[in-house]
Amino acid sequence: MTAFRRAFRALAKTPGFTATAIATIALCLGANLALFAVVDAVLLRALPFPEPDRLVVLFNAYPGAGVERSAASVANYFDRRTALPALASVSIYQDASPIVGDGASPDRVEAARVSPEFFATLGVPLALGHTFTDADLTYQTDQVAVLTDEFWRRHFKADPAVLGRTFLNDGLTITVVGVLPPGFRFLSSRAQFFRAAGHELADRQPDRRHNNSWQMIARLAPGATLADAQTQIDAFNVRLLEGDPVAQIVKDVGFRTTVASLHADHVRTIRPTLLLLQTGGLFLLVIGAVNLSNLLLIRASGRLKDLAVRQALGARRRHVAVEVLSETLLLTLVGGLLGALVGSLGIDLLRLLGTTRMPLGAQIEFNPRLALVGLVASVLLGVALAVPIIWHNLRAHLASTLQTETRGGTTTRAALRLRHAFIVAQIALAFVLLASAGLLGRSLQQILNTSSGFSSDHVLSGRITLPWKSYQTPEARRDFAERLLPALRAIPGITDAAVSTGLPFTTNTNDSATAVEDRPIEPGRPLRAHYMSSVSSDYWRAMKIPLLRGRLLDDHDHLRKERVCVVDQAFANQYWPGGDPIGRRIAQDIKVTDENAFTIVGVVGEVKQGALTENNGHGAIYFPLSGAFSFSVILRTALPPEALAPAVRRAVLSIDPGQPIDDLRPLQDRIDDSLVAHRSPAVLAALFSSAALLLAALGTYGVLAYAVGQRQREIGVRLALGAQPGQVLAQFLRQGALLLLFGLLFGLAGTWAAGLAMRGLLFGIEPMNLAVLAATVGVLVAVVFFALYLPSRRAARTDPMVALRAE
Amino acid sequence: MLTLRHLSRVYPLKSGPYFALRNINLEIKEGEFVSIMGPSGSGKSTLLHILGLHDSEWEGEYQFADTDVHRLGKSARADLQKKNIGFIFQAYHLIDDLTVAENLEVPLSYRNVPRKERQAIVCDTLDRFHIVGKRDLFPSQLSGGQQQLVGVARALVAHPTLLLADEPTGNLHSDQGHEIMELFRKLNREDGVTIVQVTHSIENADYGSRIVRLADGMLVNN
Repeated sequence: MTAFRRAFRALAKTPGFTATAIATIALCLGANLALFAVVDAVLLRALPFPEPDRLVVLFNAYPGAGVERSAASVANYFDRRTALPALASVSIYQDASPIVGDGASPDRVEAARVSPEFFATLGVPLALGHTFTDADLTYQTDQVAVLTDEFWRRHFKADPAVLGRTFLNDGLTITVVGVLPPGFRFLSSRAQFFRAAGHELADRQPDRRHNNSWQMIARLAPGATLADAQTQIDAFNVRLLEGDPVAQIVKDVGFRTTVASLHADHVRTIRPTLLLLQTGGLFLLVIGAVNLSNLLLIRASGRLKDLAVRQALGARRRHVAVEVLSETLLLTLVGGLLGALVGSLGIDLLRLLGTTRMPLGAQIEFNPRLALVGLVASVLLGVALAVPIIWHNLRAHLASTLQTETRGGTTTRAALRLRHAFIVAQIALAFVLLASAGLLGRSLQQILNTSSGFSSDHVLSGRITLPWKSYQTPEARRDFAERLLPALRAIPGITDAAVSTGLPFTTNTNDSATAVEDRPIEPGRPLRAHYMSSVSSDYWRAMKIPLLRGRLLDDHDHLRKERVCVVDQAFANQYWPGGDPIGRRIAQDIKVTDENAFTIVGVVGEVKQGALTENNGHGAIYFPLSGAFSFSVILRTALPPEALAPAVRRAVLSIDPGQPIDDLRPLQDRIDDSLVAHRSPAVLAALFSSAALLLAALGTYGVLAYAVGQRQREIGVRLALGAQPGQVLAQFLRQGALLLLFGLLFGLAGTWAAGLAMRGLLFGIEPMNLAVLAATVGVLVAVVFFALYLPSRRAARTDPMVALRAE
Repeated sequence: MLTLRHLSRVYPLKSGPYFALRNINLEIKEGEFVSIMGPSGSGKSTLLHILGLHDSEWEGEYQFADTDVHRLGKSARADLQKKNIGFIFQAYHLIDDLTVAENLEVPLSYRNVPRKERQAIVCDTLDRFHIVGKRDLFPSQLSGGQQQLVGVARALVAHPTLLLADEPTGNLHSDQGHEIMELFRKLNREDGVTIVQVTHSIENADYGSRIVRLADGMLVNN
């Protein structure tokens, strides 16, 4: 305690140094805590289920058809749920967004449809009631639900006798059979309740094994590993293919089922980005720590005499160490406390950058675990900062230090070398951060310059999902859309209105296998999948997608005997490179027949479907409006799109008072959302690199300014021996330039490694981009030279008389 | 060689102007060995630094050989200094981070002497002052006398015509002091180097040919 009191007193004597040190620690630790909150919530913290390591996901893939990842089918579920010893429990689920309540107050909520073992697979017992049975798994019997605690409290006022009570879901009466415990949440799902996974009995047949519209999860049997499960599913698939009617086709496209950890698979897309950002944060922390080390070393050099006097009076090495440690710990603990505050604000900032939309992003919070991490980090940082100072202090020679007054001694060469090494490290780390930010920024710029293939300006889009009870036939559903479109076009300000089952930059894209006439499936030419949408005739005009050949679909195409479709240029190029696809026939099947054939009547421009970064050439097919349950509404307007939202909602309700429109937002927002994974790292890297640049500049300035102060005598001597001020200036600049040069060289090597690590995040730019590297060198040279110039100029202006007199 | 006429040095202080030197008239001939003496604060070091052209804020006339220093610009004064003057400090003022040889090289590096030539001159100087064995040692590894010997060698390495020494034996014990003074006498007599030293020691002053006394910034005996 005495040591801490003394440390407090010493720090209070130098408020400028103390404030700088604490601010540096708070900034660097705070940034890292905020990032760690995300990394912890998304990557590190175990899923909130018993024995979460045993939870796995299974998905089918058809790489030969361009489908690297699909899902699973009802048939897969029934095939696999008892056949694989490595899997103790197998379940399927499907997200849904039904309307809850009656027509007077429709409320769209998120829900899911799950198989009976779903909660047992997760290891979550119900708080009330029971789960589903196999008997509930048909469209006729699936009107049963298990509620979340929140839904139970809000809709049933936590009625303990809720079992057997009912509520309206898409116009159907649903009976409550169970209630989940408080806090239950499946991954990133916001499902309010779970219904039984109803399906047609025909879906269980072998010919539907590849109708992959369900997600499959499983719990590994005790003692079983992922490898065991993978081996068993591979063998099982081989056995099933022996009797499969489409065995050859699925073999040709490389069908396989992958077993992966549920947690790792759920966060797979965001993992590299988060690790990259945390690494960037750690770089900033290291730069900050190096800066502090230098400041502390400088401070320690100035106090060597005090220390020597103490040692001469009997202080032992332990006392020296404790004194230094108390001071650095006091700094890092106070800095850490403020860092926690910065971290908390940082988490809010990260939310603005879109972390809540990440997988498991809702779990990101400042919690006691994070506070503990902050405390441990503060202590470790305090110890790490103390080590070089203790080394420096204990290395000082007592006698010569006590005599420095008479000999005009300066700092030791070893301490000087250490400080110079720190400067080099700081410049190198700042280089890596700056170059990484440059690469990410250029990459983002490249993405933004990439054409989506359509015009998203002034387009409002939303999603309508019609309930089965009110719209049981395709005709009824198409009728709804056909009545809706004129009502939407009548809204003042709307120039074009269209509907489509698929919409770029939403999850509502369908890529199913397509057969092409006169192009038999054979090894090397497998069946391929393409994006498919059913659209109204105004779709291309509303999206501003150009017609390249033939004609567009019209409002009567669905009435004609000959079924027609439009394809995009990528599809045409894939099957008829350089040829004319008009008049060719295709089918959403494995073979084209007169019954399933669609004739191509037009070719339109290719559009990006999921992301601006996706590779071209996937191909898209547009069919006439089909009467789907769920479709997007696309509205082009000359007004700000958001301003039309209330009128659009009213127009939808005017067609069906019980029918809401959801997710109504500008199309450009969806594109912006798709850029989160690129923009956020670029923004954060820019913030980090700016801070790193500032720290490097301050560090360089601090060390050189100190060196100038320490070397006043030497400068005076040099001037007295004939040096010109310009030569003194050049001497200090040369010394700084050498440090800068080494820093740049190490930074270049670091950037090469960093570029390789983040290659997956870069788009249209090589990791060692010359322009970025040149700009980085330019910025660093300018900033560091400015930091060098000020103290160097001061050195050059030294009055030798004053410098020598001071001695 | 040196002529000062009506030379004054005034420091503007908050409490009013402080006259460090007043109306100094002094002539030093080539080959002389002059000792400047006087109590602390009498202006000895100030005068020496003015002679050494470290200070330019004085009034009056200063003639060095045939050159009117008071008419020279900053750059010309620096050239004059580099060409003609060597300086020895009481506290040696060797550069801690440089070895003995590197310290000797410093004045040459400011005189644009080519690197090879510099090394040859340094070797000669080390030999001349019998410190070849110390060439790679750092100042902290030398005794006070050895450091001052290096200081003298450094002052002479560029072959100045005038050697200025500010209490060169002030930090040395008497044996070492005598050695340095003997060296000064030898340099003066054998090599013809003009020497001006500031000293408190009458014994050291006796090594020279003339004593100049200062008191309160004024020349009291010449």
